[in-house]
Amino acid sequence: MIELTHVSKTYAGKDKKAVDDLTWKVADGQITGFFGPNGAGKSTTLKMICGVNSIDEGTIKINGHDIVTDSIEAKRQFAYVPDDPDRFLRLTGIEYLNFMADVYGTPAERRAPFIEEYGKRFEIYDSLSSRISDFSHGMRQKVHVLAALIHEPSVWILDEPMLGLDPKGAYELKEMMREHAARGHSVLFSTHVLETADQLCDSVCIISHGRKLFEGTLNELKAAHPTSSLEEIFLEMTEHE
Amino acid sequence: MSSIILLTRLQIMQSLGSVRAAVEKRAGTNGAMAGTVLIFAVVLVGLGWLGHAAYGLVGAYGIETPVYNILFMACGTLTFVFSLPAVLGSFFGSSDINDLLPLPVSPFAIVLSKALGALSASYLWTLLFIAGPLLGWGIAAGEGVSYWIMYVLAIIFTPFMPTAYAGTISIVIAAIFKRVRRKDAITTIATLLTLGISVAAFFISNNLHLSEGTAQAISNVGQAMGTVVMVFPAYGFAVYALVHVDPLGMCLYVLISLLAFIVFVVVARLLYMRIVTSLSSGAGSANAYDGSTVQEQAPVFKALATTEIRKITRNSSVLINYVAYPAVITPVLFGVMLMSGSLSDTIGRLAGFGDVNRMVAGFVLVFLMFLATLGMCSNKIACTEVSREGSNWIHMKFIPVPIATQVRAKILPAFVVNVFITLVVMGGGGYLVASRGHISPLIVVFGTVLMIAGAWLMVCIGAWSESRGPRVEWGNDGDVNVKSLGGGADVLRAVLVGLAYSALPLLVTPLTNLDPFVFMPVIAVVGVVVAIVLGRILLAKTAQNIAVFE
Repeated sequence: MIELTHVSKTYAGKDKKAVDDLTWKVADGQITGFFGPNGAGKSTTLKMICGVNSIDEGTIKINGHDIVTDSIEAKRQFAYVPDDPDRFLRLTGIEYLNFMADVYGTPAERRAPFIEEYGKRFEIYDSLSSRISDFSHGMRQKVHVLAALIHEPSVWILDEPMLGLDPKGAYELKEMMREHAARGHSVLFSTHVLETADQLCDSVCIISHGRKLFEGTLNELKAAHPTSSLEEIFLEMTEHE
Repeated sequence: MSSIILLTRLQIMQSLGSVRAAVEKRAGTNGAMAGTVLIFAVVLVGLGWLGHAAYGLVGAYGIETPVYNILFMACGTLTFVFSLPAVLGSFFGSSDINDLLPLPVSPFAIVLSKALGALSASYLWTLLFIAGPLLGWGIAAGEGVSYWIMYVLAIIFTPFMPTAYAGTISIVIAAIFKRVRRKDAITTIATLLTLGISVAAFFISNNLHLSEGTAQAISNVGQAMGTVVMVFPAYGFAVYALVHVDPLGMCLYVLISLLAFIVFVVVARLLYMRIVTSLSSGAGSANAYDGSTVQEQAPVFKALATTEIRKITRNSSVLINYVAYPAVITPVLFGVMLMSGSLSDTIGRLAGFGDVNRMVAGFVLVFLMFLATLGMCSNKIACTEVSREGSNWIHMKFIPVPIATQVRAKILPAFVVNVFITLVVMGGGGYLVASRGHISPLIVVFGTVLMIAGAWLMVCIGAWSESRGPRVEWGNDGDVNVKSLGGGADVLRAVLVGLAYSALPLLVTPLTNLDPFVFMPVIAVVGVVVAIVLGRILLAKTAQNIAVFE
């Protein structure tokens, strides 16, 4: 579970708040979609949750651990996949997976079957001896997803996870997300592809200009706009901001 | 021709990297240009003043030839050493070849522009050793117009031969190893082999040996000069032309320099395209993963340090500039120290210095520690601990590892390199001096311990300095190039610490009455304690700075 309570942030030198008094709960057992137009504050919010950006006001807790006052334990609770897969390019795939497993304290007897199962599911298992710099964009995304999930945390935080994935890879990731939520855990992901959200999400949060416009289930959102598609609902809600 | 000019301009702009962007951001384009001109003018005038003063001291003795030989020797050697990364960076370090090949420009234009781009980066040594000193010397000597015309030609063509050597040798080696198919590995191999072959050739041809007395020291220098003029034959003509104001000599100098550069460009044209189009791309380059390298869980610090070392050693630009070159400069300094044996004898025989042993113990230790600091100043691993991550730096923030632990893992390789340099310089130089009985080996050991403590503090202060404003806007760790990283001011602060530690043995010279056998151990212990305590404070501050960085 992720709990944001009256969270605000303003970047240095700017007058306008990037995130303005956001209160929001990402519940367990659900896949939560996080949407907003470009510059709405989505990445800022995700980075505050993960401890990358500081919080000016409010609190953020992951499974009860405050990201500021209990940061190390809070960081153990989640897997974070940023939107940029061009990282650790000089390591081989397996070196990177081992590194992340060591950082999160995953013993060999757990990491080996995970790497084999999910590496084959993503069809990158045979390429793990190669350097990440030799991978295509989609393969890099897959290896970073695997590395983030290798310690099998309860909370997944994915920023544009489908970007660059081939159809099979995207399908496998969606299945993994469904399986994870079905086990009672939390999945939070941001995307610009609303059809994906429509297929996957149990609940959504929409922000614009740093403020929350909507939080609830997808059914509640659609019930409030019965004649509109998700895309039309989104455009209508964010257009007037 | 226009495409050559355009592409060369592109290469020069790329070689300036983010330094230019940072300066222009602060001062604007005009301000950056004015600042650059001002710095060049100050350096030129300063070195010119030195040249003028030198002529005033020794000009009447008619020793222009050895003086000019020394200047050309230093310039040529340093240009060769430092143009090597410029050449390899220009040809292999940047990934622009994928953008250039589809353009309607000839491969010859691409190769020539890269060679000229590398050449342009080599003029710094010409400014320091030729332009400045010869300006003052020539003014003091009252030289005429002919001299000044040759002076300008000398400035223009001095880097041609050493750059051509560095480029030709390294590209031939890269062609031999092109089956490696990985750009970083080829660049590293080419750099190390070129330097190794060149250093070995220099020492073998020079027949360096331990010597006694000032005369032998000078004759060694003379021997070294002769070797360099043999290696850079054009310089012999340049020196002759400048000393005797001989147009024919200058024409020969220009022709030989141009010929060397033409050979470089022709060799590069023949070999470079074949190398670069066969480099690795695609996941099929390695053997299929067989599941055998899932490792046992390693302690977090070990995992962090191992990954950091991999990132450094697999990046040729960082490996060469921050590790190999500081380590390579060390043998060069060692060569200088080979003369320190005769220098210590010379010092011992000078009248007016009472206690030779205390003189040697203090001043020679200072000299050796200064050399060690000089060797370490190119090691910017610690000063770029966050900047080298580029856009990937956020990884440091979200993994469940205290930032202080991550910082220590990142600066550990820097400290190891510094310790290596310290041991070579202090060990080698100390052995030479101790073997003559002018200093106790124990004093050398304490000096070494003190310098290692200084090396640790240099690393800590470099890390702290960088943490106050990391430069991460340039890209990701796949693109990292030392020119994007900057770090000059951070290194300067670290070097000042090193110099402060180097000065500490002055306390056991005849400047004081302190017994080195009593006080050198005390100084060493205090130095170690200060390094540990101050280091902890600096690293804590470093972690705090990174924690709030966004």
